Formats: sequence, structure tokens, C-alpha cells
Amino acid sequence: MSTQGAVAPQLVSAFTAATGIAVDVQPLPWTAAHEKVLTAFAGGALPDILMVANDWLAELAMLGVARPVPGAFAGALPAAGAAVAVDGVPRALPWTLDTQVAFFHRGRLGAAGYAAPPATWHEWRAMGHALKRRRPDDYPLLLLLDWPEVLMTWGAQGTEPLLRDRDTRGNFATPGFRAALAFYVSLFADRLAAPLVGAQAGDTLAGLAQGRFAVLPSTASTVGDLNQLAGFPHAAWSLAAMPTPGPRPAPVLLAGASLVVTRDCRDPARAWQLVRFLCAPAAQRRLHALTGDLPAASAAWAEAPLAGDPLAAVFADAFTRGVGAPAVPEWARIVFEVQAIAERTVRGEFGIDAATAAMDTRVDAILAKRRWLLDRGRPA
Amino acid sequence: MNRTARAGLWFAAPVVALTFLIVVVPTLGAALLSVTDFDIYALGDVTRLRFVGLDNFAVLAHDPHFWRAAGNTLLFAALGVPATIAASLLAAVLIGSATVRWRPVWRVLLFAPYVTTLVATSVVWRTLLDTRFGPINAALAAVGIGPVDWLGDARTSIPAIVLFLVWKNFGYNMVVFSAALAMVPADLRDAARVDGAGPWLRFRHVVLPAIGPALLLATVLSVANFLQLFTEPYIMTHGGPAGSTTTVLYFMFEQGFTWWSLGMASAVALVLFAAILGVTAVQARLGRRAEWL
Repeated sequence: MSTQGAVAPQLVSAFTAATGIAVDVQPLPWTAAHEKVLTAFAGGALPDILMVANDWLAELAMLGVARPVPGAFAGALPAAGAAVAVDGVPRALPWTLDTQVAFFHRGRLGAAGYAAPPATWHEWRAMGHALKRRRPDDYPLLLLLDWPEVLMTWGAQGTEPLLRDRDTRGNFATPGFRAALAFYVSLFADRLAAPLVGAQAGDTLAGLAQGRFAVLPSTASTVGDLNQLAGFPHAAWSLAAMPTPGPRPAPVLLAGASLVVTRDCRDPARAWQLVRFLCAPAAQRRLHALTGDLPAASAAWAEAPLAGDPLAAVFADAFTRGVGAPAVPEWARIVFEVQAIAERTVRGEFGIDAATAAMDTRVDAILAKRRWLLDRGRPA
Repeated sequence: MNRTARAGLWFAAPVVALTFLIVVVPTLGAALLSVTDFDIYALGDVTRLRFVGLDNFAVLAHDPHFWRAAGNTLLFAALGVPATIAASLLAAVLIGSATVRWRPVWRVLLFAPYVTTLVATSVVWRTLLDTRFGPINAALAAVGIGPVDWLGDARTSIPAIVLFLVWKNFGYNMVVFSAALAMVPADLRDAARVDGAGPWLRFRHVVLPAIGPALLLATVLSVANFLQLFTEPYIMTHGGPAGSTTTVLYFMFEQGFTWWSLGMASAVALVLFAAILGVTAVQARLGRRAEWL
């Protein structure tokens, strides 16, 4: 997928050299991958091995696409191991692990008196205002209205889960999610973030490098992208954990990718051999060196370059509090529709309470079929 | 049945059979799907399929996203059809005028966009419309108009795509109009000129009535094409910003292939089918009565 797909041939060539098994790699952009996988399933044209986002595993397990992992596997970070299990059965080997962090422009934060973004929502907003006072015409934070990850990250920090009743109903009208949405919307209302969508934002990394905004929430592969960006030296930027509602540590919503051997695979033994090769520490270190992606293998974290890397330490600390997204096939759609309502809230069409009620109504409708199946004791 | 009729039947049979297989059978299939809740669960196991009657249509009637898409589609058609027809007619009249030299060259140049790959031209136009580096904004800046975020602003995204569509499609209608204009009898024009009619009166009372049927055909086809708009917004804006370029067909694609609600997608397809059929019937009836031409 995207950058991982671009470097995959380099990872796979080592496997071919060691085993003599030739491997064809077909890279897909992340934006089209989910559709392509489902279309390939419907058309009976699945490849032997798929790299998938962990959020899709419940769906792929329900469809019967993802074979259960044969034998035991060890050596993955605990959070990564948990992320690939659907109803207790591992359906893939964990490949990368990721979460949202706040990338920041050191110069702009320093000018406002901050060494790094602070830890709580309240302090974050204060930082935003301090940055805004120095440059009233600029927006200090970049939060794009069609990127759902930031709101979901804050929404998942509450004590209540995002779905309830065996994941058959939305649970967005809770105090925790309402507070998260209110904080999210307030950043736009206070003009600390511009109400833009991705297509309007231009090159976000160049924007951070030029200091057009000071803070950019993103994921680990941005580390690799920033390292390759000319004219933005490593000392000019850094990253910090996303802010939490209060001083106590909060759950961290995990993302990440894993490798699935599909139902249609003609030679599962060899396919698992390749998957185990790619998930072994050596290949994982190589992936990190090539893209900045964070490996799921714990052994890869025990030595350089990850051990002792202060940026990696921010992720490692977050992973210890990691929680997965609800494991339901509809999750991708729920995220999309909840963010669409959040966007309309930012644009002033809803108040907070009306918005979270609308989210619950919408999500309940999306999950109607799941309720029907579970009510009849059918596996869903 | 005589020999000739039987032979005719045999010649027509392959086309009839193919039409049945490629058009009629899938349409009936879509009609069947539209009364089920075929979704991602049914894709995995067909015993999870339910018959839901007209529920999909009822849900659709209350879905603000669908109505938004319908409104966008109508706006696309309302802006795009007159603009395309006007551009084609103007180009055809200009090319057909006696003073133009190198006529085949102009015709090829103006027809070229229509036969160029849609994806390639979309990418080129995305560059032209780029907010910071696009030539269109550079030209506007030269006359003192500030940068316009063409594809990123919900107010300009539809006009920007319509601009592209007109450029892309006017060549086809231009050829149709050119052919129709060539059929206008020269002696009628000459007679009108002798009677003292100026260029506008000659166009209005001699040329326009003669190309009336071609005009009707072009309008019917353009309306049908605009109501089925999908690829251009898909490539240029992904339906955004904030759903401002999501058309009915784009909505159907999302339902069907992003979320695999094929039952709902089929319902959308049937609604669109009925809408296009209705609009075309009205146009045909208006066209028959068009005494004004």
C-alpha cells in the first residue's frame, strides 16, 4: 500500500534470494485499497497475501477471506498481537503499528514560549491562542475536516467504548465523546484551525516546513516523509503525544497494518512462510529504515535505531495504552459518516448534543443488519 | 412469414440476443436486488440476504445525502447542458462560415478533446485549476482577481468541473451541428439575404428551423449524459469538498462499491433510470411541438 507498496519489492527480493520463491507485488494506494480488496473478493480474484489495515480484519474474517493464523506466533508487541485477533482468533500477522501524534514546527512553538505541545486539551488550546496572538492571520493547527483520525483519537480517550450493546449501536452521546467533539469544534470556532478539507490544504508537509501552521497531527510514516523533505532539517521539527482530556493517561486509538493469507491462496504453507519472513525482526528493521513505519515485532524495538530514538519512544509509550477500534465490518463506514456529521457541526449546522444524537441515529441505522444477525444467533 | 422477413429476423437475432443479455438481464437483476438488503454480510454468505420490499426506496427518500446528490446533479445539468449546446453551436457556425480557412484543421483541433482520454484530461485540468500554480489563477491574478480555490471551495467546484466538461464534450455536438448546418439549402439563405435579412435574422429564421432536429437530439443526449455524471467528479474532487460535487451516480457508486450496499445502490440506479426516462419523454414531446423553430 502506498509507500509500503513502493518498497515491498526490496523486502521481498531478500525472501526470493533466500528461498527461491518468486513473488509478484502489486502496490495499491491506500485510498483505493479497501474497495479493490472487496471487488477482488466478489470477483474471485484475490491475491495469495494481502496487506490490510487492522480495522478491516473483522470484515475480512466475516467474509471468510482471512485464514486463521496456523500455529502460535510470538514476538509481536502486545498491542499489535491484540489488534489482529477477531473474536479471539488471530487472522493475520501484525506488520506495523501506528497511532496519531502531533508533529510540530520547533521554531514557531519556541517563539510562543513552548518547547513542545503540552499534554492536555486545555493546555493545547492555550498554546493555540499563544501561537495565534503572534500571527493573528494564520491558523496554528492543521486539522482537515475529511480526515477522521483526530476526532476518533480524542473520542476514544474517554472511558466509554464508541459502540455499545455488543457493538450493535452507536455510543457517541456519552460525556466522553461529547467533550471530545466539543473540544474539536472549539478549535475551529476559536480560529485555531481552518475549516479545510484535504484537497484544499495543498502539500501538508511543505506547509509544516514553511511554518504556515505549527502543529500537524499525523502518523509514523510522516517521520519518514519529513526526513526526506529537503530544506527542513531534523532539528527544526519534532513530535509529541496527542493531548488528553486531563492529566491522567488516556487510552490511545491504534492503527496499523497486518498481513493476511487469503482463502483463495493456492499454497498457504509458502504464503505463511513469506508472511513470517516479512514480520521477522530483520525485515521489520529494514521496513523502518525505508519508510519510517513502526514495526510490530518487539525484537525490532530492542535495538538501534529504534531503541534510544526519542521520537520512537513517544510512539512506544502510546502503544502501552493502545486500544483497537471496534471490530465490526461496518467500522470504516461508521468513521466516515461520524466525521461527515462532525464536519457539518464545525460548519455550524449542528450543536454538540444534536450532532452526537445524529451520529447515534446514523450509526444505529448502519448497524441494523448486524443487530438482526446477532438477534438470530447468527455470527456477524 | 415470407423468406425476406425470416432472413431479416436472422440478421437481427444476434443484436437482439446481445441486447437482451447485456441490457435487459442486468436491468432485471438490478430491479431484483433493489428489493433486497444485499450488503457486505450477504456478500459473504447469501443466506444473510433479506427481502425488504420497497424499504430501500423509503430510506432513500429520507436520506439527505441522496437529495444533496440529486440537487448537485441537477445543478450540473442546468449549468452544463446550455453551456455545452451554446459552445457547440457557436463553434459549428464559426467553422461553417464561408470566411474560415483550414476548415478541417479547426474541426480536428476542436474535436480532439472529445476523443482524448478522460483521465488524462482530468489530470491536466486539475493542474490548470490549481489554486497556487495553475495558469487559470495566474491569468486571473494578472487582471487583479485574487486566487480562486476552484476545486477546493464548495461554491466553485461545480462551475469548475462544468467548465472542464464543456471543453471536453462540445466537440461531439459541434460535429452533429456542422452536419446539420451543411444541409441547410444555400438558396434559402440567398433568398433571405435578397429579401434584406441580416445575419441574425437569417440564423433565426432559416438556419435554426433547419437544424431543429439536430438540436433536439443533442439536448436529449447532453441531458442524459449530465444526469449520469460520475467519472469527472470521481477523478477531480472525489465528490468533495463537503459533498458538493457528489452526483447521483457517484452516490450510487459509493453505496455499491465503497460500502457494498448493492441493494441500496440498485434502488438508486432504478430511480435514476426512471428520472432519465421521464426527462427524455418530456423533451421528446416538447420537441415534437416545437413550432417556435
